[in-house]
Amino acid sequence: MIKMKVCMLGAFAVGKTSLVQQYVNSIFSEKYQTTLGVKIDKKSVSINDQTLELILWDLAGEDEFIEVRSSYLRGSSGVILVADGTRAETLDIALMLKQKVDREVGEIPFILLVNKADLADNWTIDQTRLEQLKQDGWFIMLTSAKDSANVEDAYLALATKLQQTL
Amino acid sequence: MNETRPTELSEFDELRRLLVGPNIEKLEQLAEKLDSPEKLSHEIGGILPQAMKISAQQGDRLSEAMIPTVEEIVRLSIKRDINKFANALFPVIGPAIRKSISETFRQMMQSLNQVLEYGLSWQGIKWRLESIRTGIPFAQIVLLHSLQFRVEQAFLIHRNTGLLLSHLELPENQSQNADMVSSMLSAIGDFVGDSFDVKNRQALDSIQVGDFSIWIEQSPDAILAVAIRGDAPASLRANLQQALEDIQSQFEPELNSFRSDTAPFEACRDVLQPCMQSGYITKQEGIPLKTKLIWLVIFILLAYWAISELYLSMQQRDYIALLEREPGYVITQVKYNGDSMTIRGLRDPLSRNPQNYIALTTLNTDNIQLLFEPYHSLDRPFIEQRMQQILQPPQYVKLEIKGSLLKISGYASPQQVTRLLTMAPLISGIDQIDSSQLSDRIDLSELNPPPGVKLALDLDKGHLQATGSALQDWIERTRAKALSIEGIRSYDDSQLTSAFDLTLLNAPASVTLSLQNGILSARGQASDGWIKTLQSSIASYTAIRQLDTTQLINIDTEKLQQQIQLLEKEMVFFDAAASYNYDASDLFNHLASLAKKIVLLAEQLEKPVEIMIQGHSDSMGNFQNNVFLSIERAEYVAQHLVNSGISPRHLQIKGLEAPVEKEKSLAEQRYNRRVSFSVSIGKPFQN
Ligand SMILES: Nc1nc2c(ncn2[C@@H]2O[C@H](COP(=O)(O)OP(=O)(O)OP(=O)(O)O)[C@@H](O)[C@H]2O)c(=O)[nH]1
Ligand SMILES: [Mg+2]
Repeated sequence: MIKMKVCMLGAFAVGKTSLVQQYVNSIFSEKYQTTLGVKIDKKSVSINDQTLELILWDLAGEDEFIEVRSSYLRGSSGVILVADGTRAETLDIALMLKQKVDREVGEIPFILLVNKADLADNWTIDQTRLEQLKQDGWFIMLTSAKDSANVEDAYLALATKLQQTL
Repeated sequence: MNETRPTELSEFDELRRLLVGPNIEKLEQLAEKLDSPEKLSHEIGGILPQAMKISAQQGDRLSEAMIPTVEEIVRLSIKRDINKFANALFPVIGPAIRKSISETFRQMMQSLNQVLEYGLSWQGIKWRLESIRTGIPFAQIVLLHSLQFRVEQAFLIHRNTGLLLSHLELPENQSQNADMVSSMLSAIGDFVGDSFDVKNRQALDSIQVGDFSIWIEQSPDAILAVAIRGDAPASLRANLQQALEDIQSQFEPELNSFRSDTAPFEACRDVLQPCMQSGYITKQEGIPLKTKLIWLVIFILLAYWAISELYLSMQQRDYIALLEREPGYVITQVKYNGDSMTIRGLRDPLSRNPQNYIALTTLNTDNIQLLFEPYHSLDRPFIEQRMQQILQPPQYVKLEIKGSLLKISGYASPQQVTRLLTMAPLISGIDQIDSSQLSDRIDLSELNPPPGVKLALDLDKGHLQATGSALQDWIERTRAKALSIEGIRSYDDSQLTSAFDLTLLNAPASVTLSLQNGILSARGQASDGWIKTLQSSIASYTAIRQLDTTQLINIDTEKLQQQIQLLEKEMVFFDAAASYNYDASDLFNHLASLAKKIVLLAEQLEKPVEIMIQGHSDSMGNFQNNVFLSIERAEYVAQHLVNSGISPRHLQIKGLEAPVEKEKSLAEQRYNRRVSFSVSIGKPFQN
């Protein structure tokens, strides 16, 4: 059995929990209930006839009071960075967290999800910044936990990256 | 602040500058501070901590004053964003809840113990109620309660990644979330480690929730967590440590290099298996002796009551069953009334007395009321009994019932036969009588009794009595035969005297023999030889006990006596000398013949015989001479007899014994000159 720890990282209320819920249980709630500490979920993905068991660590979002615990990052095989397209500053936090991961865990597969794609009207993130990051080799996807756009594909993309490390 | 005109301002300012001088700037600064809330706040902020500190030292007034405000702040804060507050409290809530839960659990255990202590069966009732309430099967409730502890799951977690390497669980509680649980456990471990800044993460070694606890052991690369229901013994901890140490040392390289593939850790299951322990409450200790005793007493009383009730009803049932089984009883109704009962029914008068049964049970007789109406049972034993009672058949009459047919067979006296045949139809249950085998006579002709025998037959007893007398031969024959005659059960011949065949005694015709009561009487005349034979032979005949010969005349003795009488009549007369003057030859022949006969007969009778020859003399002359003469005369006669062949040993001679009186005549003189004879048989003469 191949099991892998994957951390959901991002600022608070960007939709980390919502993405996991959509991915694992195919449900979405408008109600915001912040994650305390960590919440863990599990999902199996099959790629090229191999089953990967993703253990999803949905960490509490980073904000001015709460800092992502580095101990939670330990042992991660991959990371999903999440930013909120309607809050530009969350991209900064995502970048910052990426650095933290590099520091604590080292270079491991990661993807960046810019969430709440359904709220394109309130979009504040600068597309050029994203392009820049893509240039740097980042894998970025626009997702919506609400209408499940790209959610499945996002996880599949990470799983594929993870499989390549085996 | 006073209002001033602008024109006057500069002069006034000038004046004030002069008066107040160097202070004016400070005043302005002060005013500026007071006017500007921001600056004022800044200033107050600088002194507020100090002020509050001093105020707190002076008493609670500040705190009291602040309570409503703080409360309002908290309320507003929660209202605005509960999560922030929750986040802030999170680190303290965990331990608080844990503490509260363990305390509650401890109290619960205590009260549970008390429940166990005070209720033996109460516990059972409670569990049953719990089962009804929760829908969990009763057996499982009992298991859960009697379970002291049970390790339900074991997780081997990779310490660095929090990934589940190996997992064991009881078959009955399969859970899908083991991976999540193990990650969560490692997260919690990290959280505790981080939050409380403990040196090593051994700090979190157990998590307690209600009935459940999770024990956690950590090694450098792995975490072993077990989920336990109930109170596990401390020894389990050592087992966990041991298992984990084993795994750590055995799988060191795998643990170090682990990133995602759990396959190498399959083998850990064997090491983990011993951790899946369980313990049961085997014995309920700690019930106080007093409680036990009270329960025991209550139990004994209840048991006694129940048993005695049971015993009573069992006895009553037994008694009824006994009556029901008893022939001649028909029970129609039984009424119980507490300890007592009333039994109604029918009873054949011939049946056994029910009182006998009460005696068999320990039931109180007063508590049994028997109300029976009489009836005639048609049960065979009763027909038989009734028949016996009515017919009272003689001993050897056989009564046989076939259905309603009564077969009477055997022998009985005519009176009895008549009686049996008249009474039999009166017995209820009998419709038909077969008396073809019943007889009132027995043919005794084959016994052929002699005339002296009387045979008396009692047919009712089957007894044959023989009286009178009969020949032994007949007696014996009959004795052997009598019982073989059908109908004769006993035969008595003790009254029968055995007749003796007198011809056996060969009696001469002159003798009549009669035997009565064992005494044989012989009458008439018989020879001495026959008499002797008879006397010697009777001993050999058992029928003759005694011999009576008083009426029997011995002919030989008679003859002897006759001859003796004849001889003793004879006399030999002499003249004056020892001689005679007549021809005496015939006389002497006659005397010799008599003497010979006497001797012969006596010898035949085997009796000694002596013939005394006595000489006599007359009174004339000298007495001495006369004696001599008398002897001489006797000797003379004796000589004659000896000459005739008589043995001298049978002869005795005797002379005069006394003087003879003077004779009155010649005839008398002649008479005195004689020789006379006397014979002694049996005993010799005394000389
Ligand atoms: N419209 C829209 N709303 C979203 C989307 N994803 C999440 N939300 C909403 O955003 C809010 C926050 O979502 P969460 O998933 O709780 O965010 P989070 O990152 O887990 O937040 P923390 O746990 O506090 O760090 C919720 O009210 C969601 O309903 C999305 O794709 N579209
Ligand atoms: Mg969340």
